Amino acid sequence: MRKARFKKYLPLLLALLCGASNGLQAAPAPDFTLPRLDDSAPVSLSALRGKVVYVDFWASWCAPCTVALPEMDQLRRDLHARGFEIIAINLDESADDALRFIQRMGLSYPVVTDLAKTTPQAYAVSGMPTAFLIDRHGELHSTHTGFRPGDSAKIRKTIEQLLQETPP
Amino acid sequence: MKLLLLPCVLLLAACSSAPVQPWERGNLARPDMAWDTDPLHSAMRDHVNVSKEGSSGGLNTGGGGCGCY
Amino acid sequence: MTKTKKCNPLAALTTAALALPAISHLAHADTAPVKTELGYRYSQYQEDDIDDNKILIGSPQRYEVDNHAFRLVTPLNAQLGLTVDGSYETMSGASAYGVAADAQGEPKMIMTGASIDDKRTDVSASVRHYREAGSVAFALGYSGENDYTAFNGSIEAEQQSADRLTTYSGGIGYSSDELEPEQTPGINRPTSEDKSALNAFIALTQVMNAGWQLQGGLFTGMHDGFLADAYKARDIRPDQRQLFGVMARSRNFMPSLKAALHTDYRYYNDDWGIQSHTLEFAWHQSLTQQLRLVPLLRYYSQSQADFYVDSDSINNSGYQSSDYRMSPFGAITYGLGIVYEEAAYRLVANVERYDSDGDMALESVDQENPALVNYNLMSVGVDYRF
Repeated sequence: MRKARFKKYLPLLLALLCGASNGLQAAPAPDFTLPRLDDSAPVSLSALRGKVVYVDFWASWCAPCTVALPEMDQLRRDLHARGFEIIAINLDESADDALRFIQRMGLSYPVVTDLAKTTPQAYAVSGMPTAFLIDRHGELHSTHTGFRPGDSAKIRKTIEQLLQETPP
Repeated sequence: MKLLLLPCVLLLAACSSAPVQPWERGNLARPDMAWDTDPLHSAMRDHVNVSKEGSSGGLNTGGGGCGCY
Repeated sequence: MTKTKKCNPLAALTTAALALPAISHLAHADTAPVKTELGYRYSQYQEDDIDDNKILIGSPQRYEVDNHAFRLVTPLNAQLGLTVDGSYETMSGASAYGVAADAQGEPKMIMTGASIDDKRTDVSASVRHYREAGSVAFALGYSGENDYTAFNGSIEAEQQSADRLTTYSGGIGYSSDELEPEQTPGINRPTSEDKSALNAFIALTQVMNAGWQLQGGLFTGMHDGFLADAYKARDIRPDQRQLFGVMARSRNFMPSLKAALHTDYRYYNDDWGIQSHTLEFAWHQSLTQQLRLVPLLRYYSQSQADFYVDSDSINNSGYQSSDYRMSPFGAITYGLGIVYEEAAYRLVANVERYDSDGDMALESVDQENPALVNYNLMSVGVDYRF
C-alpha cells in the first residue's frame, strides 16, 4: 500500500530532490480522484488536463477558508468558459459539517472530500487554507496561502495569464 | 518552589507529543476550546476577583487553536 | 519530513507566494479578524449583607454594581486588527471603615453610615499587527472613577513555530494611577496620592494533540506608590509590592462527549507575604450544534499579608491593615453559563455564586476576618458578527 502510494507521488518526490530554489520551477501536480461531498460522480484531476485548475484545501472551521469559497466562485463563473476550474478539497473530520456549511453557498464548482487525508500530504499543505494553481500542462504553477477578502482579484490576474497558454 | 517546575513539565510533555497536521485542528479551532471563550465576561470576572482578593496577575495570551494562515 | 522541507518545491512556492498574515477565527488572538464583531454584556454584581452579629456600627448593606460592557473587534486592513473595549458601571453600598474588637475581643466591622455612590468608566483600544506566524499588539487604556484616574499601556507579542504547534508569547504593561479620595468632614484622609504598576509575562503554548492544548507561563509585577486603602481608619502599607506567579492552563476536547474541559491553575506570591492558589475548572458541554452549557468551579486560597492585623488598634505600630483582602481565607465559586451560537451571532448568560470563609483556606485560620465577601454575579449578553 505504502509502496503504491510512493509510486504515485514519485514525480513529486523527484521534484523535491531537485532542490528547487526557484519557487516557480514547474513540477507535475499529484493526481487524485476524490468523491464529491454530495456523493455524486467522483472528480479526478487528470480528467481536467488542458484546463487551468485551482485546487483549494479548506475546512469549515477555518475562517479564511470560508471567505475564499464564495469569493472564488465568482471567478470560476467568469472564467469557466475559457478553461478554468476549481476543485475544493474539504478536510473536515465529518463530511456533514462541510455539507452543512456549503449548502447555503450554492457553489458552481465541485467540492470533494478526502477523509483519508492523502492529498494534503501529497501536496505538503503546511497551513490552512492553501491553494495550488495548476497550468494547462498539469504542472504546479503557484501556491496561495491564507485568504483575505479581495484576494481573488490578485489570483484572477495569474489565472488569466495561464489561460492564454495553448492547451497541449 | 516545586511549582516553578510546572512550565518545565509542560515543555517536556510537549516534546513527546505526536505532530498534529494543519488539517487536524478542527477541534482546537472550536470556540469552546479558546483560552478565553468570553473576553467581555472574563474582564468583569477578573475585575471583581482582583478587587476582592489579595492576588492579581496572569497570562493574557493566545496560541494553539486554528493555526490558520 | 522536515529534512526534505528545505528543497520541497511546494514549500518554496508557498513561501514565494504573497506573504499573507495569519487569519482566522474571531475568538482567537493569534489570527487577524476577517469580520467585524460587536459585543455587549450587562452584569449585575451583588454582595450579601453582612451578618448583624459581625457589625459593631453601621449598615449591613454592601456593594452592588451594575456594569455595561461593549466590545468592537474589526479588521483595519490585511495586517491590522483593532479591538475597542468600553465599560460603564455604577456602584453603591456601604464600605468598611475598619475592624474593631468588641467587649469580648471578637473583631467586628465598622461600616460607613452613608451609602457610597460611584461611577466607573473604562475605555481601551488595542491594535494588533499580524505577520506570518506572529503578531504584535499595542494597547492603551483609561479608567476613571469619581476619586480615581488611571492610564495604562501595554505591548504584547506572539510568535508561532514553523509547524504552528508551539507559540511563544510575552508582554509588558505599565499603569499610572491617581487617587483623590472624597473627603468626609471629621475624617482625616489623604487628598491626592499616586501609584504605578509595571507588569510582565512570558508564556509558551503547545498543541499536544488534535484535541488538547497546554499553556504555561510566568508573570511578575512591581507596584509602587500609595498602595493602602484611603477609606480605612488605619491602613498603613509598604509603598512597594513585588509579585510573582506561575500559571498553567489546559484545554481538552473530548469528541465522544462533545465537551471541552478547561483547567486553569495559578500560583501567586508577593513580598507582602501573600501566597495564593487558584484552581478553576470549566466544562463546556455542547448539547446541540448551537447550544452549550458551561458549569464552572473555582477554588481560591490565600495566606495573610505579614502586616495583617485582626482588628485596628492605636496600639499597633508600623505597617498594618485589617482589610479582608490582606487576611487569610479561601473561596469557592460555582457558576453556570449558557451559550447559543450561530454563525452571525451569539447569546450568552452566566450566573455565579462566590462564597469566602476562613475555614476554606488551605492553611488553618485562627481568626476569620468579619468582612469576607459573598456575592452573586449574573450577566447576559450578545455578540454580533458581520
